[in-house]
Amino acid sequence: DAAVKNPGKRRRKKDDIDLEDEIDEQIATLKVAMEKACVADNEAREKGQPAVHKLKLLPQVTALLNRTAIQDSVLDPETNFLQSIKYFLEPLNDGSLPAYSIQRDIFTALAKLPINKDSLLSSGIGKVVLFYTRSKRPEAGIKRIAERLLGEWSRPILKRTDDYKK
Amino acid sequence: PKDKALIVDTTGLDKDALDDMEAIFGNGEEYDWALQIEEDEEEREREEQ
Repeated sequence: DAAVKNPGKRRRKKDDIDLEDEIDEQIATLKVAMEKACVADNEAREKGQPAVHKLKLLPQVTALLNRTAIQDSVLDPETNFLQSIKYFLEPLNDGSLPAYSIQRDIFTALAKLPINKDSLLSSGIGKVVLFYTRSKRPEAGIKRIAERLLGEWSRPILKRTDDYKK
Repeated sequence: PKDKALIVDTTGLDKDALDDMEAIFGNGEEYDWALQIEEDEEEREREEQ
């Protein structure tokens, strides 16, 4: 029943195509760098070294997340930038959380984005947000945002059930 | 109070909604390994005190 998707959702003006391609490319490049940084941070941890690779990329990552003009590209389930965001928030192999500034900046940015069901499904970011509500490690402010996101993201799904009943 | 964080009440949901919830938020086991490490560390700290 999910066959009725919305193919024209991302209708672009011709002039915007170049710019949008450029942004998609920028996102793709950053995604690769982010995934490498996650691996590098885990390796550093295992060697007892500080995990700094994700931190170094953080300004670029939050800059993209906070650019409202490119939200469509950032949230596009096919570009799947949110999946890399999920990797950034995941606990490291030793169970520790990423640096506080990573948690703070990314959760703050996520709270401002109109994240829809399709990007939730393709990214899996809801799973890591759920983890932040369950773990005792995050600071209270982070947990509050995580709990709010969980509520916001699940509301349309829960509401749909209500609608059917009426 | 291990599972006090089960915030979303899923009672009374139809199957599609339940499937969506699980597809989006997982079955709760994805990061159990990290929560387990957390618990083990707490245990160790308690013993050391």
